[in-house]
Amino acid sequence: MNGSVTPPGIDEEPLALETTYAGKPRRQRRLAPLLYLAGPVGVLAVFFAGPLGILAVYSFQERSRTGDGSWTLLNYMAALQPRYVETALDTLIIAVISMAVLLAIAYPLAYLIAFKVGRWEVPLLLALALSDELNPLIRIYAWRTILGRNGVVNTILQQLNLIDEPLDWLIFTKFSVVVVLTASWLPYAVIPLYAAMKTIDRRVLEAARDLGAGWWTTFQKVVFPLTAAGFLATIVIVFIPIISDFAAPALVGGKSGRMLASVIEDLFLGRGQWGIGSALTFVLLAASGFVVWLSYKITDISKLDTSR
Amino acid sequence: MASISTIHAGTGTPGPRVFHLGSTLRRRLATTLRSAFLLFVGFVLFGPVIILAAFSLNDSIILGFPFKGVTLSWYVEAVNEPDIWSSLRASLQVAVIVTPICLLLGLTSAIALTRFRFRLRGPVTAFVALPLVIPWLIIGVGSLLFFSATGMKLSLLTVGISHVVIAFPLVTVLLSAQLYRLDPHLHEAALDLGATEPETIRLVVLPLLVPTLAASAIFVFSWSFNNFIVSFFTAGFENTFPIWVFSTLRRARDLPMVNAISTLISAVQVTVVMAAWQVLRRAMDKRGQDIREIVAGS
Repeated sequence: MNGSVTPPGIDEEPLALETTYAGKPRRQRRLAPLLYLAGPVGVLAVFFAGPLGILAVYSFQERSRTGDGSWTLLNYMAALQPRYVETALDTLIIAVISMAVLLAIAYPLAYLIAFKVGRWEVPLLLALALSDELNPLIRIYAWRTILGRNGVVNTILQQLNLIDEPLDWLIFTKFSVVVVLTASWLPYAVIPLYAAMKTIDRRVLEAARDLGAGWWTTFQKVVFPLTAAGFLATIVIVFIPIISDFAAPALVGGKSGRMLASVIEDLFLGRGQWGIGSALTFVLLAASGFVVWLSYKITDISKLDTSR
Repeated sequence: MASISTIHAGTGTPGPRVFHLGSTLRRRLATTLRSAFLLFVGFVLFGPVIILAAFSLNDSIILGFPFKGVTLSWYVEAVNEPDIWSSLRASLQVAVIVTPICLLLGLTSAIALTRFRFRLRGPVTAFVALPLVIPWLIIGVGSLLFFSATGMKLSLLTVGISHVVIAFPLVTVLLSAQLYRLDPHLHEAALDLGATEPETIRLVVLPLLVPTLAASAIFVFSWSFNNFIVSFFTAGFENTFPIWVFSTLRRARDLPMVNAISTLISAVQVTVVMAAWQVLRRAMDKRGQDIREIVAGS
């Protein structure tokens, strides 16, 4: 269904060809996938599993600047300190609000692109892809021209005499982080939703209309059930990078818009507290894992995926 | 038919006409709202960068109003800054080397996972797709620890290695989706007609995958060229372009220069990416394929 995002094999049964090698010797049949996979799996086994493994080990070891590498649970205890818990909660709040705003924009947008814009369909898709290929740091930083003290919004409001002083909550707050995260991840949310919409047979929508369904009924009874799987996939795809985002809080977050990633970066590169840093990283990983698991569980339980 | 005209006659002609007028108005309103929404989205995606480009010409050290007049001095300053050029060169070097490696690894893994049935296929598929759902921050931090534990000196090489790890699974996913859609009988027919396995891949499967490979190349190249967070942890004392931007943004004095170089780089990126997509679209039209397939897999 959804080429750009659904990991193959998780919910798709491929057309593997048992017959392909029917006439070939058994040994060759056995060895061929091994030859193909040696490179990619080897690279991941060393340079992907290795780093995650070492994070796991370090999170249970005494690894500060003076640390000696002895085994301990203190890192996880330290990760539960109020200041980290507070940042974790802030991170969660920012991520959940950003997700909500993002879906509220991305869902209707995907619907419009899939069904309503006619010949603009491909240009709009390419515009989304294009915006994602601009440098993300530049895209984030550019929001300061809009939200900054001397930015577009403040200048317009002051010119209209609606405010005397520049609004101080526009930039370097949770607000600006939410705006920037939403804008940054919009393409990644629209594209899987669009892919899900494309699997809907246009005639189903026409049938709903002919049978007298208004737009709300059509949405509730037809469009949403048919795109629910894509909706959950989108949550997984976007929530994980949002909850671990570093650049947005660093460039427009200020003090109140701090997120967990900033704390982790500081622990590793600033203070050299590798043990606590690893433990916090694992907390973040667990949170991401939980969201993935939950989404697939929901999809599985309710059999919402009627698109196939 | 008779009964319908009776009803019309009964309610009188104004009824249907009013209804018709109402629906036209509603349709107009819907179209206007739709256009307004699309404009809003367009602004969210591109507005800030366009306004940044305008401010890069502003003869002022502040990013914002008042507009004090047009100057190109920030561009002159940016072009004469050696750090910019060396960081750009580093980013290009990494992306140019990482892209073909990712295409190769993505291709071999996609072929293995879609064309063969073997015992561990399920787990291996999940393992190859896993880097796509692990936050880049975590891969970056983990790689830093891994490289320092194994005694590998942080350099552009370590940056490249981590870029391969985060990017080639994307190619695997894109190519697998395309391979599922290909008619499996083509592969089979080639083998039955006496082609060897490598010949089948080279002469039958690969040509059908060219558009997807090209799209993958565009994605991987820009992922690598733009990546900040993974490079940030694995570059050591090297500067890639995003790292240079990030560290320079912390010094207020150099902000106008960042605006200028950001505008230049964005303009180049837009041009290159648009051109690449256009070429790809033409090529796909010629083959009777639709570029939407790559985006949506539909």
